[in-house]
Amino acid sequence: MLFRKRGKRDEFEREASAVFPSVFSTALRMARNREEAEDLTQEALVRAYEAYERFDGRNFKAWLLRILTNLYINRYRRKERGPEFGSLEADSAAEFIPAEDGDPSAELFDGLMSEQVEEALASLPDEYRIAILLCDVEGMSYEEIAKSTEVPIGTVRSRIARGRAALREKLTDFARQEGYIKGSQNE
Amino acid sequence: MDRSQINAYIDGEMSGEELAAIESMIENDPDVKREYLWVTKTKTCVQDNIKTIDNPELWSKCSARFREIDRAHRTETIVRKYRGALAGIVAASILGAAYIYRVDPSVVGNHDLARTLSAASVSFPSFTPRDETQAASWIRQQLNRETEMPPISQGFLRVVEVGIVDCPDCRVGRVVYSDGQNQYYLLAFPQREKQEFQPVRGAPGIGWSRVGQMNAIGWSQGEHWMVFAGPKSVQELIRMIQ
Repeated sequence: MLFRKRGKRDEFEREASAVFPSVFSTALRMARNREEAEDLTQEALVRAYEAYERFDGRNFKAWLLRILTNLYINRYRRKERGPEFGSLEADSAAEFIPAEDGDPSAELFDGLMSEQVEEALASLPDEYRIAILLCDVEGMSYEEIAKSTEVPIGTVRSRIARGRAALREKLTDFARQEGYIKGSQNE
Repeated sequence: MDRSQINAYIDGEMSGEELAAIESMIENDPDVKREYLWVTKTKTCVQDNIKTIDNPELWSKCSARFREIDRAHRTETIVRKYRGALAGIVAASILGAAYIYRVDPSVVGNHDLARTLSAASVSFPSFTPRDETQAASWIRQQLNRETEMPPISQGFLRVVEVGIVDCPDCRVGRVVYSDGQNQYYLLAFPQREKQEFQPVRGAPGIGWSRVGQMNAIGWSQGEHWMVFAGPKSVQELIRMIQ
């Protein structure tokens, strides 16, 4: 038996089932392909199951998402697709540039559909998308994201800032197309 | 001030002096405040619109895989833990099967009869004796046993040949008779504990077997299991030896 006590296995299943939707959703947004996301989720859960006795007992969801992210970065992206380099490093999103046209209105993005937000997020390069997913959607700390993605905290901080800036541009484009923004509010 | 500081502040990743500085700037610098509002708006938009997606079918698959893994580990553990005992059981099973299905040398079976009745199997130089008495004497000498040969010829059978057949585990005395058309065989097996002979109704102590086109009757006599075989019915063969 993998776990000496059956109770331990039940405990794993209880914890895993509670966070499973988050794990699958993250996998889906990382891989952007349902079949691949299902493989990724299943593999991550199996790895977690086999390593559960080594789990420190603190934050199960963060631990599981770390396994998932590591698996995606190391296995899927590098082996199957090759590294996908971000294109945000050199553009204006890197630096703080004061907006010229005032504060964003309170309702600015309110009319956007979830599909449009999903599309905007999906358009980001892997590194930025993963950082934003783990931070904004899964609520992980920069330290946890750094461990999951195996980069320094400073890099996480930078990726989140650049990723959000790029995302903001995409969302603003959608809002402009929908007529929620007139002129060039974000320019 | 760069954008990452505002993002870190919004994400609750600042403390101490850095935190105090950014809060002061947001309050006093309109550009920083505007950036703060934009980042907050973007983050909120993601949080509000990126929904969790469940997949119950996939969870069922995963759950099934946990059980598979558990079973595999359990088997592995048992094998590892009891490999000595399992090896013993396997060895005992093999030896047991070998014992059960062994060719029991103490059994006179059809294969013995077939081999013994085959002319080609006579490995010791054979000869034509004068009569049954000489044949019995010669066999007794060759087998080094007290062998009583029943008088079978009874006028219509003549002794054709006497010889020894070397079986894998014993030596068998063989006398070949002829009635002019068919051959008959009298065989003297070393005494066996068991014989694959069927009991013959009304003839206690006599067994019956079939070899090719011949019937064979067997009975225990002295230190031998005697067999008389020929192309006759069992009852006729019994009459011939009495």
